[in-house]
Amino acid sequence: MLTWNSAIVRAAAALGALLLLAACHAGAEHGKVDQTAEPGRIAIVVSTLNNPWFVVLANTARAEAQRRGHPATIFDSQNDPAKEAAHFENLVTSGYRAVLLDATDAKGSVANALQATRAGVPVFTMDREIDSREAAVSQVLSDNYAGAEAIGEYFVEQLGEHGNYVELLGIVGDNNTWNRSRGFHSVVDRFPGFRMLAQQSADFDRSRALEVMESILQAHPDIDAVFCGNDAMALGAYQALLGAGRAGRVKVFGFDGSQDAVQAVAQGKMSATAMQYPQVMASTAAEFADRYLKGERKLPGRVPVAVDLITRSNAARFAQ
Amino acid sequence: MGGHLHKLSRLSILAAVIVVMLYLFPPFHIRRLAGGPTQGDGKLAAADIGRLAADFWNEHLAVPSVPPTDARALLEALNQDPTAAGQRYGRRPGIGGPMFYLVAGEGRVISTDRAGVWLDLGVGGPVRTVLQTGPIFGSALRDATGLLHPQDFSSFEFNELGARLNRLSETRGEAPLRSAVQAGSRVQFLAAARLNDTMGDAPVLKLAPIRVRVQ
Repeated sequence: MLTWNSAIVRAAAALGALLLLAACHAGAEHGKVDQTAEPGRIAIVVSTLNNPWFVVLANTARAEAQRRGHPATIFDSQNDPAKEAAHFENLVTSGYRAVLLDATDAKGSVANALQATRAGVPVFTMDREIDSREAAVSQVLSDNYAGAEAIGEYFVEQLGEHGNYVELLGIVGDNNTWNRSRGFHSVVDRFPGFRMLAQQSADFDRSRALEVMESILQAHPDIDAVFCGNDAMALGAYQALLGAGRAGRVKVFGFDGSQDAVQAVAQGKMSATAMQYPQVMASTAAEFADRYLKGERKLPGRVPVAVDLITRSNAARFAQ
Repeated sequence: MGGHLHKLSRLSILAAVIVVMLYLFPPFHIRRLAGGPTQGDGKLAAADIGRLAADFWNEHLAVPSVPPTDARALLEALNQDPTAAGQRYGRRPGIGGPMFYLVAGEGRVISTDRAGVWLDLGVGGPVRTVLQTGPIFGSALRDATGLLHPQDFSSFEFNELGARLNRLSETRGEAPLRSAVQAGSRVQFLAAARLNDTMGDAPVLKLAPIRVRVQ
């Protein structure tokens, strides 16, 4: 016979089971994709617009976001973590619904990204990694290490497995700097005939690289090659070599695949560079943001984008 | 009794309404725990990465947990259409770049040089095959199985893992090749491979050895 107490117990048990089922069910967290979801404003926070490579990155991200129906604004951090932090303060309170971030600092930018994430504004990094899985939904990054390995193998081949060289590093707080340096050294250091005479940061900046290289050449006039963590520095180093009358005798290796550098490689002024694809990174990050805003949650946490070696034999293919 | 049933049906209706509200506005969500050996935050010590690499080598490469592609079939496909061969047999961890293959096969030694042991697999075509000796570079060993995912590691960890696997190939995989391998010898191999065709020279299928037997 059904009693009131047993009825309540059975109803409570059934309610508990259904409660558990509801919590497990694919609701908003697991993302029913809603293609008609209202577009949201997307902020594009870029490390600097003082380098044409980052201008391409930012403009591509904005164009793709807008193509997908999201108004987008570019914020220039001017390579200053404090300015980046101010941008994040602004965009979190201004109703932006997602951020595409090219970070100023792998560690320092984590707090900014976390602030946005915890405020419900998802962050997607492009080009520069931040040292946190929690702070970004996806990180779309060049495979800098593999690209620098390829540069290293070509370096070894071009120098005949021996020689004195110099390395110009990028911004020390940027993981790209160290991924490129490590990739390069993972190859070159296996050949005992090489000697690194100097290793110094020039902050990815052409003018700075010119100054640094001029100083290095005074201390070490007899070098065979220079590896630079980006093309801007490589072109600055080349300028220094020109000034010292050593261009053509010292092999110059860069990274990025900027058009200036591609031309320099084609003309034999530089030996090699590595082509990154800022358009691919930027448009992929914008795509991920769009998909997230429409409810999709299963997005890859880290996506490496391959980098191509450019030498004189294939430079024409990459020239625009 | 009628009163009890009436109360029960009201309770059921209330329960149903609550369930519908909970479905539409869930108070909590059950999430899968973050997968992979790390949080991808760069917290793995070098020793941890070394152990990971050794475990991966022992558990997934030396005794492959992913069926390797037959080397002859791969070579035939690469000679016909490298792009189609990559789509059919290859793997890679991200966007663009070379495809990587886990291959097993047997070939006759043609010659040896600094690049390694050049093999004839009995397949005609422009692609040559070399079993590497000496330093191993690249990420074929890490990426050929598709079992290691970049999102489970920081970039430093993922790169270092690839480098450690390369060292294991040099110490363990290449070992049988250090004794004099002569032209005409037959070699059975399990290897991670990539097609090197970037420089306009004749394409080469470079094999990073995992297990080799020289007859």
